[in-house]
Amino acid sequence: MRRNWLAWAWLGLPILYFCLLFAVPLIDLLRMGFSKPLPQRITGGDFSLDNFVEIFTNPLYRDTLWVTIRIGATVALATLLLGYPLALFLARTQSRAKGFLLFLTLSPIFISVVVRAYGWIVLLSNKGLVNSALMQLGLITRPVRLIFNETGIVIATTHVLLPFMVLAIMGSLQSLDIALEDAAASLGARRWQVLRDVVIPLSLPGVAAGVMLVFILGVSSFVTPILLGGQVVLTMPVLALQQFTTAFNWAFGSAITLFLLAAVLGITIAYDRLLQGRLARGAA
Amino acid sequence: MATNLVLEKVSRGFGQLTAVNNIDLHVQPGEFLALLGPSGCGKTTMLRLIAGFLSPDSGRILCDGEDITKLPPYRRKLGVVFQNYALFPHMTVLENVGYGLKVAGVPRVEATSRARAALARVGLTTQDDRFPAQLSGGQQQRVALARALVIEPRLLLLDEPLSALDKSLREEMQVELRQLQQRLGITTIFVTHDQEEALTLSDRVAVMRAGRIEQLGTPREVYDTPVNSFVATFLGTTNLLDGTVAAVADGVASVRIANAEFPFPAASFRPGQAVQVTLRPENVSLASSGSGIAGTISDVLFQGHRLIVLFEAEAGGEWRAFCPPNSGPWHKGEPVWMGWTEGAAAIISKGDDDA
Ligand SMILES: Nc1ncnc2c1ncn2[C@@H]1O[C@H](COP(=O)(O)OP(=O)(O)OP(=O)(O)O)[C@@H](O)[C@H]1O
Ligand SMILES: [Mg+2]
Repeated sequence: MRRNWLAWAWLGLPILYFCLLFAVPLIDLLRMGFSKPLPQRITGGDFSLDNFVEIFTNPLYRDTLWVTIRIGATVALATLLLGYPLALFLARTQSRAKGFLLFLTLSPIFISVVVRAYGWIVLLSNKGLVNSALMQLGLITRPVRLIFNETGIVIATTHVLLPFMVLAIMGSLQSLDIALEDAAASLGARRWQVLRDVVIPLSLPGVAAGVMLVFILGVSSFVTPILLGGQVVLTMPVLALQQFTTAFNWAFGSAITLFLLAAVLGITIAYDRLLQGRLARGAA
Repeated sequence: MATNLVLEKVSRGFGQLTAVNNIDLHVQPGEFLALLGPSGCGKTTMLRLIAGFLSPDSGRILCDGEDITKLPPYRRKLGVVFQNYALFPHMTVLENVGYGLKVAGVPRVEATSRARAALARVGLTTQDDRFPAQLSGGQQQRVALARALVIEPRLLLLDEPLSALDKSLREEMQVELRQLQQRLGITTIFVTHDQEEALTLSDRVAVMRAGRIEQLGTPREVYDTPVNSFVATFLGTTNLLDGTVAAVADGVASVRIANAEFPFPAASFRPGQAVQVTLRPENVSLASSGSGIAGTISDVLFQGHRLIVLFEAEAGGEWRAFCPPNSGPWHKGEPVWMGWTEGAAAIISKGDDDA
């Protein structure tokens, strides 16, 4: 009996945790999102679809969604292009510095997101390191605008999310049997052919997971977009945050959040469906 | 014409450990050579050195006289079959087998027909479009073999290819493998830690221990005249009898074991020298009267195809004999004399072996 009690406690704690920290806020969010925005009550009034009608009819929100998805997709692509070679190197190197290199790769995670954003502002501003260097080299004559626009957001977010991509890809590369690469080499495949025919196809599950993860984290981040977008570039999370903190319209903020959530969920499910058929072969 | 392979003083270490230690080896054209040894003795490392997946710290590897030590694996043209087969999980059977031809730029139609032919050669014709995960262990083994053979390799290297199969299938595959090798006449190096498999399949066996080749010879040589107790005990069961050289005359050493003396052909033994004699249980003869080592039967075990008779010598020491099931009858506690026909036991001088 005692055991049974203990088992329930083990199960109960996570359930409690889940309810308090996930389910309750989500329910609250749903209630506020589907309520009538009232000037005198920031949590909204009776049930209504007004917020969503506004989101779907006002082109501002459609454009914002598009910008958000574009940033998320660009960041996913950029982290993939930068992260794959890095993950490949880290997964295969015999170097004693491997631990240190891995730490360097993951280091963005350990630094406050605000600090990182300001660091990028310093580097990318008109008189920053990047622009000065480019002008010194004579590649440009006038500073290129790299912050307070999408470019800045993409650069800084790529930096922040690169570790997630690297970890996801490394996971699948490390579970790949080295003998497969040896086998391909013994059959006459050069290094690039081994990469093309064996390593890359078999690491696609990791790539898919990394792309999905980075995309979701990218479209839902708000600190970096606020700081590097300078409130000029609007993304869905920035818009929602403004509703909560400056417009004091929690009902509409909740609706934007729900809309973003639904959009991301939809894209994720579609992506998953699309890949499942193709990856099933490789994962078999 | 089949290829010969020469290893000259090849060594390879991993940190402190010397996995392959100064190995010299000549593999004859068309030969089926088994590398036999306990786990961790360096068999796989040696195969990987030959295949080019690892480079030696020192020494040279020559293939038909050509120094291939520095050649990358993709230019060596050696067929390798891995212990777990290492089939590409995302390719069909046909794509797996055809891969070596694809990267060599063989036109697709020709590659397909050659891959089909290779599959037919290993007795697998109906599984072209399956993925490796959908095949049985034996079928995967055949695909791996076909994939290695389709590129017409100079050598065939096999790393414990049969160890994942169950006993009856393994025996079947052993015969097939041997027949295929004989038919193709391809020089083959076969790694195994199964002594019976090594003896059954190969023309010569290299018995390895701790990165060195302890003995290289035909299955009969290594089995009947092991050079030390390691080789003797590793290749099947044996009795190790301690004795002393009593006299040496005319190239015959008379060795005293327990209470009896036995003649051995001997080159370099001194009287008084302590030696060890290896005697296979199946070569032991027991007699209820006569000469030999006196003792009693301490137990008789029936195994179906044979009897194991445990013999305890009066002068100390317990040994075993394998007898036909209908021999005897032997009874526990019965006094018997143990001996062997001349030539059935071999001397191992003591001290050349630290086992
Ligand atoms: N890449 C490596 N790094 C470090 N040590 C290694 C490496 N490869 C092999 N070794 C060591 O070298 C020794 C020989 O290994 P090897 O794989 O050649 O043994 P083996 O004879 O094939 O054994 P088994 O029968 O278990 O396959 C072992 O002690 C092993 O731990
Ligand atoms: Mg091995």
